[in-house]
Amino acid sequence: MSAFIEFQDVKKIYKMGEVEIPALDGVDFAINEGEFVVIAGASGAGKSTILNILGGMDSATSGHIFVDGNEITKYSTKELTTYRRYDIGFVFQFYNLVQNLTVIENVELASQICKDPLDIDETIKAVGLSERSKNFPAQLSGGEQQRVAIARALAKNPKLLLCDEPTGALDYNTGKQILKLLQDTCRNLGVTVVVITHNLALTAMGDKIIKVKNGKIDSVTINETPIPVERIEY
Amino acid sequence: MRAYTKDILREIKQSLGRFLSIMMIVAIGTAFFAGVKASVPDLRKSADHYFDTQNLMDIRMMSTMGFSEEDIDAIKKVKGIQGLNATFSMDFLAEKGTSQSVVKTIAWEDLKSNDENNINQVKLVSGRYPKKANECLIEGDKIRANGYSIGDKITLKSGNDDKISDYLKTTTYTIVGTCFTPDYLSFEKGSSTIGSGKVDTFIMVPKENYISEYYTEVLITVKNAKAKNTYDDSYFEIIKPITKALKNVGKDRSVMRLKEIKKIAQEKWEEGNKEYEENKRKFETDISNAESELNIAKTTLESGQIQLENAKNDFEVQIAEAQAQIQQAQDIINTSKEQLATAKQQQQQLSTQFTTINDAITALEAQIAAGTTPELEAQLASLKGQKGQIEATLTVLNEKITIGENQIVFAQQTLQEKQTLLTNQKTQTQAMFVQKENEIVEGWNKYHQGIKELEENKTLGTTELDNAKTKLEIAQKDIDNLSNPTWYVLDRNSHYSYRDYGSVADRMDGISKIFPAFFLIVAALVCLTTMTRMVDEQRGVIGTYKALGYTKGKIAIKYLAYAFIAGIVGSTLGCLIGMHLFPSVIFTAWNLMYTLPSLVFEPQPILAIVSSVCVIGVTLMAAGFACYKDLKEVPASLMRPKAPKNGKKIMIEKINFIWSRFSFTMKVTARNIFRYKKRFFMTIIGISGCTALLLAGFGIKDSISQIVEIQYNEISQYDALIKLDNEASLKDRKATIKAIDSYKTNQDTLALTSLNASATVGKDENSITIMIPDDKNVDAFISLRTRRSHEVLTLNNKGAIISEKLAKNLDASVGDTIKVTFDDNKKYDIYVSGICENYVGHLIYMTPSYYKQLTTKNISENTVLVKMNKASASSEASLGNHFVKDKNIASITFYRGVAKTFEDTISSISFVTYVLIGAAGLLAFVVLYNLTNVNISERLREIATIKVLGFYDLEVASYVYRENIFLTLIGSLVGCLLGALLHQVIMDMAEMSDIMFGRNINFISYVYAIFITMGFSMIVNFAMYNKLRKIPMVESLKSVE
Repeated sequence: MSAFIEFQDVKKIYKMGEVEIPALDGVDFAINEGEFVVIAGASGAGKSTILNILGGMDSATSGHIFVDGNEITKYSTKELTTYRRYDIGFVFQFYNLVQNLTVIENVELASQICKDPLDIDETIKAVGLSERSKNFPAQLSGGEQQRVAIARALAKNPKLLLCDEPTGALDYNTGKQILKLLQDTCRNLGVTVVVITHNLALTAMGDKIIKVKNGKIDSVTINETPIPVERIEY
Repeated sequence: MRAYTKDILREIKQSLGRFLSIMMIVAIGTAFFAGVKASVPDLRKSADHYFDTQNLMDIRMMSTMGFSEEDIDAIKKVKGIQGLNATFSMDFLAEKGTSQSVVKTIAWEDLKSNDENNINQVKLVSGRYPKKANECLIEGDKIRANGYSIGDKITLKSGNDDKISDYLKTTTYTIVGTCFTPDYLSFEKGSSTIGSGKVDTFIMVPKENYISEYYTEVLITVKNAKAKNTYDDSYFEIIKPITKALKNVGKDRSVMRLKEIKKIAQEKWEEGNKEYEENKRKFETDISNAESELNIAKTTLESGQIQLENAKNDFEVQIAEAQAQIQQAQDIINTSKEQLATAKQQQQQLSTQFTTINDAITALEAQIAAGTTPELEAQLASLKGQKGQIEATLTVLNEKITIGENQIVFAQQTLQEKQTLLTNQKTQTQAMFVQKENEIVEGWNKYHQGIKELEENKTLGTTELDNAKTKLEIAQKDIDNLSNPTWYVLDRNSHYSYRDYGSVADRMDGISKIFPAFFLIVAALVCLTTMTRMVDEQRGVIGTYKALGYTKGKIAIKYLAYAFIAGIVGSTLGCLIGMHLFPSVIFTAWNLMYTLPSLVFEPQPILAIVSSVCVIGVTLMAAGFACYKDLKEVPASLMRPKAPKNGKKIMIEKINFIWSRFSFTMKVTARNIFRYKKRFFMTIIGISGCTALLLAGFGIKDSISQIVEIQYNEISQYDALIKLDNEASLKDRKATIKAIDSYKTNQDTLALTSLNASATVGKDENSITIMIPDDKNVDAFISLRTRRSHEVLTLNNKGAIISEKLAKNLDASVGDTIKVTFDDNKKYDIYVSGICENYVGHLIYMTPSYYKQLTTKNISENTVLVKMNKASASSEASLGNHFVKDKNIASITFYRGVAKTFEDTISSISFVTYVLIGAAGLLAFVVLYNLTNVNISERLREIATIKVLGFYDLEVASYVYRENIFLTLIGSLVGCLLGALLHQVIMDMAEMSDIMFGRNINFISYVYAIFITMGFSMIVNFAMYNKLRKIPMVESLKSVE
């Protein structure tokens, strides 16, 4: 069985005028379906670029990326959009909720464009926000907002959940709760989850840990015994 | 401070789009403000310049009796006159094909253009000036092609009973050039007493062609008047004293002129009278001569007859005598013959006796011989004696017979001759008699004929003399009735083209009062929105400056300077472009109907400064307002990102019934719309402004084009209006009315009384036509109804129905009383019993009995409204030609033509519509561009996020644009209300004093306005689509700034 996600010698080179800055310099890795993957690395190592390219927000300069058997590097802009639409759930560091929409509406925003969305109310219940579904983001705490963001990502019923520093703007405890929610989602729903973090402490919770350094894969570690989030201290 | 200046300049460079959009709205605002306003003085200046260049008269004088040389001398003595031109202009007819046109024939003199007496100089368009007396210039065909071209010949003929040769030496002219005259700026050339009643075109013919001894008009220019703009009050201050002086001259001269004219006329009359008397005398002499001649002839004839009779008698007597003589002669012959016969018998007897005797002798002798016996002897002797006797007798007798026989032959010969003579004489004389008799019969015939002729001549001569006498009597009456010649001293206020063009400027003035305000508000809002966004984006910078110790003022200066630079550049640009572009566009558009040669700009620095200051002021205020709030905050809070505006429930959410029906995206849009109030208002006002301008533009067309239709088809349902001569007797007028009524082209006619009146409105006099129909049938000709509800109004004896515009001007409503000056110069109070829909002119309708109540006078019908079977050029020509010669008819006006002309005139106003559409488009673009720009820049993260969520480009666009579209829709709906209002205001302002425009806007115009607005919005959306597409999704990963 081939891997669910496969990066083959993926390069991303930004051109700043005459200067070429390689963000990714030949990245190879594979992720299996249902895995909880943590991509870790220092700032500017290229982890966000990986996520952007994997999430269809950006395209690779060269190399091949296969997701669920399809080579997304060959996708047109429109196909990429469709890919994002149906296959990807995205959780942002700064939640990126639409301020002018209530919790339930923010979730609806995503679910309304999907083919087979999850039930909105249940999704909101699953992230523990049933009570606050009529509230606007500004009326919620950071953790709650991130839950909404996760609910929004999940409601799309994606194959792949991509999380960009989901705890970056949250305090310790709230961060943990969010991570737990992600882990539970992965375990319960079988969604492949990729989390980006610069916090190496979090690597312990992943099934697979990919460390990035200077645009290259530093190491890919398979963690046979992931630790539940509750027990991680960072 | 250098660093600070640099900061500002860099700011501009970096946010060029924003800077340009502020600059643009400032430029547009200023361009409209200054441009439209500047066009008014520019239009006036252009006309003034043209008038000055062509030396248009300041005063035109006309007189009912023309001007004599003495009059001219008297006029010349008036101080302050610069140039004077006593000249001629007369109306004649010219035929081209089947169409006949009224041609104003104006005298042209070959004067130098700098000659101050060369007034109303024409401007040669093509060809050359006339060199010979039979050459002419025609009107340039810019306005309306008249069908003539250079090289053609134009033949003039008189439009009335007068012979054209009494006025013009030459009647056929060769066209050598075309020209414009400052006297006529448009195709409207006033009325004429001949032909169609309207002057169609003019020609300039050399002055020497005029025969008249009196000038028909005197053109005058006034000293120092040229220096003033003719549309300024100060111009009239110069003209007024001259007008007054001229009027006084007119009063003096008219008395003298009357005397002169009376004297001349009386002399002429006397001459005529003398001639008449002479003729009469001659006639009488002739008649009596003829009579006596005839009498003589009669006597001669009679005596001739008698003579003939006598001659005949004499002749008969002579014949009888001659015959008697002949008879006598015959008798004598006969007697002679008898005698001869007797003699012959005697001879016979004697012969027999002789024989017997002889025998006796022989016997005796034989006896004697046998026996002589004396006895025997004796016997023999006696016998012998007897025999001798007999023989002698016989001889005598024989002689006698011979003589007798000769005599008879002679006599018979003579008789024969006599008889022949007589017969000849008889034949001759009888022939003579027949001749004489014939002569006499002929003589009688001649005589009778003579008598007949005499009788005829007598009747004829008498009639002629009677006619001549009547004419003389009328002439005498006319002379006795001669009134003072009236001088008309007309300044430019009475000059149609001057007024007409002035009203164009006035109308633009009206429009220029609304537009700028509108653009100012929009400029302020655009500025406010844009600057607010800018200040929001620069919170951190402001905070940094504050932390560095800059004062509020100094920080604010950056933004104020930013706005100020945009304002200065924008307003300069706006002034430069606007003050040239708008006057040019407006001038060119109006000049489709006018013949001004070129636009002359009036330098208007004050306007430029005022409008710039206004717009810049508004921009600065907006900028100040935008940064005022942020400047109050402490640096620390400024350094923190401004909390995004929180989501809020909006009013409509409380109405669950509606909200629950909204689709998800609709809800989002609805919330967004109400989230940013400034933007909401900017867009609504901007877009509603756009729609309003469009609607007003289309509405102007609707309202104006409609009035032609309504006025001439719905209200005035007649095709022609015939004015009768007020001087004609009632009987004559009645006859003419009857003739008109029964003329073949006419279906129905209505005779009524119309009179001119006036009412004072402020400084102006509104001239009014009072119509007094004495007929229940009036509805068929004039629809008296209210404008809004079309409720039918009926005339009653308690008051009058007045036209709406008059009511408006006089501020009168039903139940009020208005003061109107009638043609007898008396003021009457008229009770307003109704106000009727009417667009052209001021009218008052009343019943004859109400008229009598007012004036105590009876009506006398002088106007006939005609409904034709079919109004067409040919039927109008037929009617016109048939009645134009009628002395009782003063004028005929056909409304088919009037409606057409009017439509032409106002259809050119459609350019206003295009200007408005253009303005609306600019407005929409600037506003929508700003809105979208601000929306996108502010919601960059949000847009990037939904892109990440997998929204397709079109979905993203619709997510953003739905708001635009919705705001545009609301804006255009509001704009419809606003537009209706704006339309009303524009119409109020653009309206002329005697024409009421409609106030209606067709439904389709609303549709157009909304659709075009939406179209503008689409164009902006489309232009921004690329920008939207290019938003990088990575934006979503950035932290909130």
